Amino acid sequence: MASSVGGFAGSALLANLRTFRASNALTAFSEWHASTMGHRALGLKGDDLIPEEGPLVQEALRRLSPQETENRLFRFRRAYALSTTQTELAPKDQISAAEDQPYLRPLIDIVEAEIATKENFDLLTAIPEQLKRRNRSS
Amino acid sequence: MLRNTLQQRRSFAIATSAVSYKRVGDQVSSAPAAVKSVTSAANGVKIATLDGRGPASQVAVVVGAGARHEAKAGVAHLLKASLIRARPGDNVVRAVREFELRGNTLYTAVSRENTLIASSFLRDDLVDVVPGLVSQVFNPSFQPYEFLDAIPGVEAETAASLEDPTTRVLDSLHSVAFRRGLGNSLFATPDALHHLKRADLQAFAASHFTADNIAVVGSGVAHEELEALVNSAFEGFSIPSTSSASQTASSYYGGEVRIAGSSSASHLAIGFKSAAFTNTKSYATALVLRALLDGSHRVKWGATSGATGLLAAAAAPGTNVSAFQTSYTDAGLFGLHIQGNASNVKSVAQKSVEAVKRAASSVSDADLARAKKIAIVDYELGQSRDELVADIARQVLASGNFVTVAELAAEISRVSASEVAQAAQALLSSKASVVSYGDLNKLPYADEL
Repeated sequence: MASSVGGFAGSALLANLRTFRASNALTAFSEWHASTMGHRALGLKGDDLIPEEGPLVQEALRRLSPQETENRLFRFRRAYALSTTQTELAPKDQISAAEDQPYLRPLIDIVEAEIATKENFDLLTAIPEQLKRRNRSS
Repeated sequence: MLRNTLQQRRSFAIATSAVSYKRVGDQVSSAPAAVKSVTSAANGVKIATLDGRGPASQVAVVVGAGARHEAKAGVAHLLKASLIRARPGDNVVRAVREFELRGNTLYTAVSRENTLIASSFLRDDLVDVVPGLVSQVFNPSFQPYEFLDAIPGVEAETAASLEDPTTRVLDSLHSVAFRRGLGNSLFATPDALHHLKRADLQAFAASHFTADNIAVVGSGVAHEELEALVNSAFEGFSIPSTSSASQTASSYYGGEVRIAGSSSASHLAIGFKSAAFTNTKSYATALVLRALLDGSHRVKWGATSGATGLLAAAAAPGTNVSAFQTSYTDAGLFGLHIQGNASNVKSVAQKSVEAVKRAASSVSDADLARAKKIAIVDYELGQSRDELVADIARQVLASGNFVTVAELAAEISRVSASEVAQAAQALLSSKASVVSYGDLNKLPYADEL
């Protein structure tokens, strides 16, 4: 729905933005940025930095598998211990780029989609006319 | 001119087939006869409809796998609870709200032999309902949290169901009578749920959700339309044509179980081996025998005139006795259910068994005529819209065809007194299954009856 606002859906600007987002240059920049953020040196994944206050992320956290939840708590405790001693993990123990995969963001997206779907359906006061005409049964 | 426009058109024609029937215009003065059709979809899934041509419809996708077929206890119940899930790239809210938007229902159910997902809707919404149901059954996505979220609901369902002594007694009666297979509990216990994994559910679905084991059943839908929609809905899914799971024939054992329970109301259920629904003749006879014996009141007020079955004489004040008949593909269970004051249960049970023995020796014509009417009325009353599709489905899955209420009523009216007496003798020749629940100090043992 949002992509069609203002007639942007098929515009050249949007197409350019899409190719730019998928470009090697931006991927390399994003990778460099993530590695200089410092969370990997403390043994944290990128998704660990998402603020967990609020019902949306709480619901996503509830849906994590027990194993994932345990690993997440372990990373938090390790990072806390490291930060109290003002140290970092040895380079071989740090989170690598391959390990730093989103595990929470996909669940947040699902919860967001569920809420958005619910709100869209709540806004409907009647069955849309085009749907009514489609259904004729003998 | 004015007269022309005001002139009403009336037609009392009753169409003979679903195709020629037009709902546009006047209502017909009497309900047209229901049309029964059974065919197969392109991939082998059976499609059965009973079109009463009313505006309210029901469609169910039924899988011939239930508590009876489970390799690990509780799989069927948990699968039923987690059958409605988010489809890949979509979310579960849409799946549910698309049904709700039109006021359609969406529910799942599990029995000893079948698992079903069904919807009741207005006739015009068939177009949306069929793809919705099929895509839920063959949903390849199963997230870990969907599995974990289903468990508390199942636990609560089990606790609430087994809290009811009647449900508990009947569940135990099945396990006493059939031990394994049909004897498996319908309800997943917390302990069983603790040992289940997502892979167990997926393995159960993989071995039983096959084309020869699935029926799409409609009530109040045009058969050709349902067939076309089912064919197009199955296009995206490649499902195995035959089931790899081996089905073991059920055998009847009998025995006794005593459960301590609340002393306020005691229950005693006595079960005997009876007819399967696949044999229409003996099934009809069993239904007549049940109606002949059943001592429950048919009129709400007036104790003297209400109960007319042979068991009515056996009942005592505060203790009543009813008869039931449950049938499965290859076995059946006929039972007497006594509930009430624990001190009366023994004498009532003894008199009830005497009543069954009397029925085995001879059946009077007056009793038989009454029992046949009761059997027909009770069978038809039991066929609510939900029950109807479930009943059609289990018959279609077992034998590829189904018997309508009218056909069964005709079969029931052909039952003779000697056949009923023979059926009663056959019951008594099997070893009784006895379940007592309540105040065990007062409840009788099986050998005392």
